[in-house]
This record gives sequence, C-alpha cells and structure tokens, in this order.
Amino acid sequence: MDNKDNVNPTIINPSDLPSRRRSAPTTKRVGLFDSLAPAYPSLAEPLSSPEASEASLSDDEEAEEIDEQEVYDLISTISDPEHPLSLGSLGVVKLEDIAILPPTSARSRISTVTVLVTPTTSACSLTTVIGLGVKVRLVNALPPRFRIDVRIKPGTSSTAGEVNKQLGDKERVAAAMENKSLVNVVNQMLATCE
Amino acid sequence: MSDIQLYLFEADKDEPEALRIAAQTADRLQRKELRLVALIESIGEYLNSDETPIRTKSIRYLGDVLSATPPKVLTTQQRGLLLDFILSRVADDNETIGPSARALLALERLSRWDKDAVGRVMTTFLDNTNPLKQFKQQSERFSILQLIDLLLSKYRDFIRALHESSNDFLPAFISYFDGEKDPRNLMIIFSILQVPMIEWDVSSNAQDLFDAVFNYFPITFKPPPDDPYGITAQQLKDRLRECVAATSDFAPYAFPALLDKLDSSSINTKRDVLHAIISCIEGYEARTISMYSVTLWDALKFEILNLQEEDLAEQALEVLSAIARQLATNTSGSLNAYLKPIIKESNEHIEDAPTKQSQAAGRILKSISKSSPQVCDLIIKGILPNLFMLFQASESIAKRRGLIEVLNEIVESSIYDVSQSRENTTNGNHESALSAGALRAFSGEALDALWRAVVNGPRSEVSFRLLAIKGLEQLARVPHLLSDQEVVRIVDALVDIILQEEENQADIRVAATKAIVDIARHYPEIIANHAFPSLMVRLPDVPEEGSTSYEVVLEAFAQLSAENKIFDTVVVRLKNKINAAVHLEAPHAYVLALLKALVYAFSNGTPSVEDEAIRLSYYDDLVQPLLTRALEVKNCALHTEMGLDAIGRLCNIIVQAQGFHRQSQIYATVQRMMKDVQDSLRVSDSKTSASDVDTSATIPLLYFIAAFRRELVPVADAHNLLAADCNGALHQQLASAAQLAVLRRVSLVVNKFLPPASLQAVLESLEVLPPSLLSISSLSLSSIRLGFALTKGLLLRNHHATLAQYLPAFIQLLSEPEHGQTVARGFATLLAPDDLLSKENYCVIAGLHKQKAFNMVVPAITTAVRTCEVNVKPNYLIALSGIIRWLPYSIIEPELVSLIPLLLQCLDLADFAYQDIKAATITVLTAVLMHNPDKIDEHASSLINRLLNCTAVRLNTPKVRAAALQCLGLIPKQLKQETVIPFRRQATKRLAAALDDRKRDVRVEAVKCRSAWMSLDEVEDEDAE
Repeated sequence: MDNKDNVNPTIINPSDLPSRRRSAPTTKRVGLFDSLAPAYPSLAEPLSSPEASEASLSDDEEAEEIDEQEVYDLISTISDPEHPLSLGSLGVVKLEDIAILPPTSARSRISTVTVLVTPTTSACSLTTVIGLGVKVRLVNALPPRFRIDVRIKPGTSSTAGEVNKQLGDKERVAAAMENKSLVNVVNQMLATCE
Repeated sequence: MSDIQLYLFEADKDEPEALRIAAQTADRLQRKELRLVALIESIGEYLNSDETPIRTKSIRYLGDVLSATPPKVLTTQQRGLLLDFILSRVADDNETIGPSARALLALERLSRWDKDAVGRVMTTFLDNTNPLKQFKQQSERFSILQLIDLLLSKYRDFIRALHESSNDFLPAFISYFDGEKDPRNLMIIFSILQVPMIEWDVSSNAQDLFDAVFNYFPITFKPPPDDPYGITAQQLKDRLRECVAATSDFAPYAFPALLDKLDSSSINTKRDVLHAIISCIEGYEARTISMYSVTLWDALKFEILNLQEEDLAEQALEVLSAIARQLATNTSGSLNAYLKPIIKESNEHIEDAPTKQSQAAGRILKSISKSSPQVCDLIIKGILPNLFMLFQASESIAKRRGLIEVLNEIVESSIYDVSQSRENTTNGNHESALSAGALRAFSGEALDALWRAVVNGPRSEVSFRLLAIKGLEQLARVPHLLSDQEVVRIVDALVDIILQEEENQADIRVAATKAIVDIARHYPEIIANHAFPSLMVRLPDVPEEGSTSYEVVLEAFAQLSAENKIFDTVVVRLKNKINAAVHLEAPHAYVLALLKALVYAFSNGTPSVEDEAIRLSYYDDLVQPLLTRALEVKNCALHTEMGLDAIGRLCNIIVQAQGFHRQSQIYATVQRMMKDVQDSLRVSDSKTSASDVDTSATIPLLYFIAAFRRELVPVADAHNLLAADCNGALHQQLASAAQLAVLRRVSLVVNKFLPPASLQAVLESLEVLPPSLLSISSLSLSSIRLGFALTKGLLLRNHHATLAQYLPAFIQLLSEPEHGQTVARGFATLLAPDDLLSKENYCVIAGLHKQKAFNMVVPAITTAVRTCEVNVKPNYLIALSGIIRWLPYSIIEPELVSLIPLLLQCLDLADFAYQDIKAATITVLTAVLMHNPDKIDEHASSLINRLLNCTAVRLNTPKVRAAALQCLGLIPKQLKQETVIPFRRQATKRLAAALDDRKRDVRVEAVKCRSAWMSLDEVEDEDAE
C-alpha cells in the first residue's frame, strides 16, 4: 500500500476486516457438540445452596482492558457520509492506525487514544466531517479517562493541517456540534453504529 | 289505493315494505289477477310526471316487480313488449337510467335474450347514454356497468358480432367508459375491457383501448377508512396489469409508456412498472417481445447496476430473466440479439472487477442463465473465455476475487435439482450431456483456478479463499460436470483445510466442512473412500495427554452423518474408535468426545429408516453392546456419569421412534436392568453411602423410561418403579447425576404411566402427598426435591386434584425461615423445559398447563407477599420469578398491574445469591417494555434507578449488568418523552461508569444504551427551538 491516496475506494469484504474473533481466538471455543444438552435449572442445581454461583463470579470478573480492536469496532461501523458503506470497509479507519497510549505518569489516570483517519481521496471535502464523526463517537462511547486524539493520516490529505487543527481544538469541535446541519450529518453517520 | 301508489308512498321510507308491495303485484300477475297491460298502464301516468323522483321510483317499481316474478309467468311476447318499453325509456329519459338498467337485468333473469335483443340493448345504451360519465351518481353508472358486464359474460359472441359488423362499434364502446373514477366501477370496467383485448381483433383500435386502461396507471387509490366495499388498491392494480398484458398489440404503446414511468421518482410507481412489465413479458408473444428486448435491457440495467432499492433490482432481474425465458422458446436469432449487448456490457464490467458493477453483472448473468439451459450455455460461452483470460493476466488478489465472484454466480445457475437430471437421463443421454453443457469446456480451467486459490491463496485473504471454496463446492454440485478424479482433488483440498487450518481461520474451516458435507450428498463414495481415511488418521486410538486437536476432526466427521449413504460408515467408524479407545484406556475426555460425536450423528444426521422408524439394528449392533460394556466394565470412560448419559441418549433416540411391538421386545430386555435399579434404590439403610450401592444403571434406565410409549409399561411396573425411585430420592445419598436421573424418572412416571384416576391413591400409598412428604417436622432437601419432581410431572398433564395439594403446600412453606428459600428456588424447576419431558417421548402435555401454573401460583403469592414477614419476603419474590420466567408473555399480560411492583422489588434483592432472579426479572421487564410500555410509565423512576443500580460492577454479574443495560436502552424509545427526559442527565452520567466496565460485552451494551439516552437530548433540543 505505497499509494496513500486511496483514490478509487476499494471496498474491503466484511470477512477481511479485522475482528476480535480472528485476531485473538477466545481461550475456550464453543464446540459443535456443546449444544446437544441444553442447560436449564434442574432439580439438582438451584435447590442447593447458592455458593456455586459465587465461585463463578471471580472467574467472570477477570478484567478485559479496552484495546485497539475495541476502539476499531466502535468506529468501523460509522457510515461514510457519501457512500452507503462503513468507514471500516472503505479503509478510512484501520486497525493499525489506532493506538492506545497508557497514562504518562503513575499519578495520572488519563490514557490517550490516537486514531489516524485515511480519507478516500486526498482532496476529499468531507474529511473534516468524517474526523468529527469519529471523534464524537469515541467521546460518547469511551469512558472519560480517555483523551481522544483524531487526526488525518500524514500524507493522505491536502488539507490535513487545517483539519487536524480543527479536530484538536475542543472549542471548535464544540462549536461545530452547535451547527444543526452538521449535527444531522454526523448523526446520520453514527446511525449505523450498533 | 293501487299497488303503484302504495309503492311510491313507501319507497323512500320503508324499503322492505316497498319490496313486499312489488312482490304482491308479481303474485297477482302470476295468479292472472292482474294483466301486464294493466300494470304498465298503472305506471304510465307516473312515468310522465315532471318530478324525476316519481319517474325514477315508478321504473324501480317495475324492476322490483320483475325481480319478484318467477320465470315462465310472462310469455315471449310479453317479455318482448317489456324490453321495447324499457329500452324506449332508456332512449327517452336519461334521468331514470339507473332503475331502467336494473329493470333490464331483472327482465334478463326471466329468460335468455336472443341475438337481436342483445344487440338492441347494447346499441341503445351506446347511442343514448354515451359517455357514461354524464351520470353523476355512482350507483346509476354501477347498474349500467353490471348490465354491460352481464352482456359480455353471457352473450359474448353476439357482442363480438356487433364489433365485427361495424368499424364504429369499438371506438364508441371504448370511449363509453371514459373518465370513470369510482373504484368499484373501475373494477368492472377493467374486467369488461379485457374481453375485447383478449378475444377480439383490436389491431386498429389498439392504442385507444390501451389508453383507456393505462390512463389509470399508476393506481394511487387509497381506500377510505371503514370502506364498506372493501376494494383495495392491490385489486385494482392486479386488474389493470392484466389489461395491460392482455394482448401483444399493446406492446408498441405499453413498453414506451411503462419505461417512461420507470423514470418516476416514486419507488412505488417503479415497483408497479416493473411488476407490469413482468406481466407483459409473460402475456405477450415471444415474437413481439424480441422487438423490445434490447430496449428493455437498456432501461432496466440501471436498476441493478446502480442499485438504489434492493427489491427493485430483484424485480428488474426477474424481468430480464423472463425475457430470456420467453425468447428461448422463439428463434435462436432473437435470443442471441437479446443476449449480445448483455454479454458485451457484462464483459466490460468484469474487466474492472472488483467493483459494484462487476458484482451486479454477476447477479444479472446468474438470473438470466437460470431461465433455461440454452441461455446458460450462451452466457457461459460469451463470458467465461474473457473471465479466465483476465484471471490469468492479473496477479491481484482483489481482482481475482472479483472474478471468482462472477464465476460463482454463473456456475450456480448451472446447478439444478439432481432428481430432475435423473428424469432427463431416462429420456436419453442427450439431455444429460446438455446439462453440463458449455460449462464442460471450462470446467478444467475453473477447477484449476479455484483449487489454486484455495490451496495456495495467502492465509490472510479470508474472503478470497471463502469464495474459492464456495466455487469448488458448486462445481462439484453441477450434475455430470466433473470426473471422479476431479472431485477427489476438491475433496482432498477441503480435507486438508479442515486438518491444517489454524484456529484463527475458523471461518475457512467451517466453510470447508460445509462444502464437504454438501459434496457428500452427490458423491458419497468419494467422501467415504477419500475423506474418511484422511480424517480417521487424525483420530488416534489414544491421543496424547492434554491434546485436543482431535476435536475439529471429530466435528467435521460427525457432520458428514448428514448424508444417509455414508451415515452407517460414520457411526461404525466412531464405534470402532470408541472400542479401541476404551480398550487402550485413552483419556476419558477423548472417549466422551467420541460418544458425543455419535450422539450428534444420531440426533442431527440422517440414519436409515425401516418401517417408518429409525432402523432397529443401530440399537442391536451399535448401542446395545456399548451399553452392556458401560455397565459391566467399571473404571472405564463409558462407566462415568457423562458416558452413561451419552449412551442413554443414544438409546432414547432409537427406541423412542420404534413402534409398539418392537418397543415391547426392548422392554423385555431391560427388565433385568429395571429390577437391579429398583433393588439398589430400595436399600434404605441411611448408613449406606453412594459408593456402596451401584446405581450406574439408573442413568440409562431414565432414557429408556422416557422413550417407552404410554401404553407399554403396565401400571404395576410403573408403581413399583415409582416406589423404588421415591425411596431412593428420600433415603439415599446418591451422587448428583444419579439423583437427577431418579427425580426426572419420577416426573416421567407420574406423567406417562399412571392413569389419572389412580394417581391420588398411588401417591397416597407411597406417602408422598404433601401431608406426609412436606410436613414441617420431616422436611428436608430430599423431600422438597421429590415434591417438585412429582409436581412437575403432574403439572404437565394438568392433574388438578393432586396439584391442588402440592402447590398450596409449597406456597405455604415459603414463610418457613429454615426451608423457605429452598422451596422458593424449587419453583423455577416446575416449568423449566426438560428435553425428556416431551411429546416425542409420549408425555402428556396439556395445552393450558402454563396457564394453570400461573393461576394456581401467582395470585396466591401476590396476596401472601403483602402480609408476610420481611425476612421471608425474598422467598416469595424468588418463587414468583421462578414461575413467570417461563411463561409466554400473553399469560402474564392481564396481571401486569399487580406484577410490576413485585418485579421491581425483585431487582432490590441485594444478596449476591439472587443474580439469576435479577436476570430473569430484567428479561420479563424488557418484554413488558416492548409490549406494554404504558404499563411501565408510572414506574419509570423506580425502574430506571433500579436498572442503573444493576449496572454496578461487583454487586452484579456481567450477565445481569448487560441485561440491565439492554433493558435501560429501550426506555428512551419505549416510554413517553416527557416521562424519560427528566432522567436523561442522571442516566447518561451514571452510564459513563458502565462504559468502563471490566467486561467487554457489558461495555458494548453500555455504548448502545448510552447513545439511546444521548439521542434523547437532540429531540429535546429540537422541541425547544
């Protein structure tokens, strides 16, 4: 992928998009035969003392950290404002362009999520809107301890500098979200997110 | 007063009375008390009245009299006189036209008209009442249309003769109906006009006739609310479409007009246009269609290539396919002329693959190819050379994937039902040779390309390899296409994938397994000879300790049992493997996996059938030896609880399906087992522990008892078994699996084998009715369990007399500080599904048993909970939740008002032990939110707060947290905006914490839930502006 221009939007097939299932198989696979005997409360189980369920709790509560794939899953389903396609399938957001940086000091809780957006063409006029959509989605969907940094991937847009400035400026983002037609476009983009 | 005077008096006030008067006149006519001439004369003076209503009513009177007159009362001459008389009214008096038409209808009913009469009626109307729209009242026009409709249905030849004798008739006839707007009338007009369209030579008036109906296209009629006539837009559309498609003569007007309307911006119009075009293609002659085929292609392709609406594209594809189907019956020249531009344009799109257009081209080619084998051959010859050339010329995976996509579509259209191909081969080899047709020339190339893609394609190119696997599977399914060696090549490649693909490529392996199972249907021998050996090599007799690599092989192998022709081989090989593994003392997990594969084969595969039941020899040769071995050889994997359970399932599947006679033979063979089990359960020395008594046979026995027909087991046997089981359940320390088997058997026996009349006596003699079984002094975990097992079986069959003892006793016990909670938890087992308590296992399942459970339990609990002690209140809530979690929503719906407060209290159960109650309650509340949000409105505040509390980590399991978030996410959509908006700030704030949940699945729900609440904000803003 030397050509960062992404001129003719190639559409990535859904089964070729990065997914958690493929990149990190879960430790326990569900076998074909596991469905043979469905589990319902039986006379042997629920009548006994409820300690059993407490044992399962510690297992369940093993923490799963928020990782790059999870961030990807949050934003890859956003629709492109022009095409009826997702940002993931257009290659606008890519798993390898998402980075989570841990807190800079031991006292801080603030982690940083960096997302680099690749516009479908270097002169794409909707680059700002796409960046805004990604930013809004992450601000709403990630816990407040994350700082969200959305930028245009270097060398992929003729207006990268200007757009990055806009997206990095809290007040300008807030002002943009006052603009009703812009809000509508962004909501439309986010409507396809699960 | 004369009859006419009376009639005129009553006509507007009392219709039945008026009709009675007319009938009276008719009666007098019949009895010759009144002469026809006198009748006409009596009407005469009113017919000349200046007042229209009087004239109208007089004609109506005449019509009503004629309706009431039986045939043969009037002579031919009299009828002729009447016809003349009424027609003169038609000619002279337009204002009484409606009743005149009805009088003619009544007259016609008396006797069939001759050719002259029909001609006079028709021409009188056309000459004097043209156009029809001059009559303002719908009912007037309706009467005339009914008359004309009658003429065209009963005297079709006479009317046709009118048309053939004069060039002026048809134009007048067509313009007569001009401008009608009423839907009822239009239904008749469309039907009238169809007669000339279909039956007459209308070539000189085709355009006028076409316009007469097409003026109404598209139908946009919407029936008014409470429309008494019940005519729908769809009925009008259907009739109009039939008219448009009625004759090939319309083609020069229909196709341009329809294609013009296809440019409409309204989706509905486009739908109607496409639908009409399909009807035209099916209705017109092939010769006519061939003149418009290319025009149609040029217009319709955009609907598919630039897809806007999926259903429009599908309709357009259907049109294209219908054209090909029609032209295939015509000269080959016309078919070629149609296909040529399609093939040319498709080839252009394929060159750019992968694009949306290349994908669409694949769809187009597939639908057209499907229309006939001949078309399919032409498409293959036109497309595949170019496609393979492009394939060889490109190294790009993306390009090749796009090409395979198109190839797959074309190959798929060559697959047809094999049963048809058998018919064809009996008709001679020619047909079958044609079936693989032109594809045969490319099969080698296609196979090579797909095979390389599957075998050598980069592992990371998932979609590419998935498409190639699908392609291979399809090639193998085209009848008579591939040689056996070629199929072997495909099978080997697929088996390699199953064996070698790493875990992270599960998609690929699943696809390969599915492909092999599909191919097994067509080439069972090849699968048996080539796939089986390779798979079996990977199933060792004894796997290495801790290895589970056999699992995927075993799963693939078990799935091959779907094909009946290799089913027997699959199960025999599994059996041999089990024997070897047991003999060599392989790890228990491995033997159990093999057993489960066998269960899977029998429950999901296609075993052979004999006398409408699964073949009994499977039991004799396969399962029975396993069972014997499992019971005899201790310390082997078969003898474990899970092993015995799997073998029991196998017995159940086979025995259950057998008829009475064979079951009774099997019943005889399990007598010893029954006796042993009963003996072991009767030992009631409390000192004996699980290890002292051998209860291993109790698990398989459960499955036999489940499988037996109701009438098979004598009541005495059932009684003995129940006695032993009750004793075992109460007085023995059984291992949990054995205990569960005993309890499930208790449910089965009381449900199936004891006649309703003797239940009370039997249970009493065994001392298991509530007074003895559930008395507080002797209450124990064992007696509670047994009580619920009995109740479960009784509840399914709705045995009221005993239920009326058990259920109140249990509810009473909920207030017990010591055992109340155990009893409460038992309620959840009553209605819980149990795969053995089923119709297939001959259980008595009363249709209303859930309703019964509800009626007998829920009101009692809702009453008791109001007055109970605080410390036992959770017991009532647990019991309630245990029942209603299994009920269909319709049962709880009428009681929501009293239930919702209790459900909300269930969410307050803070102790961690109550997680399952909370989860079940949230499910019920979610259903209420979906179906009856109005019932929740007043509880919004308490529901929202409680659900938010349920999202807190550490106090709730991930399952509860996720369910609570799902339910909470419904609230902004389901409840009234003014109810929820006040909670928005609080909810979004607290939900931010859920975004940081420890579990990923919970976070996913939190994101959805929170955005539902956030979107509420925007609505609020818009309202404010």
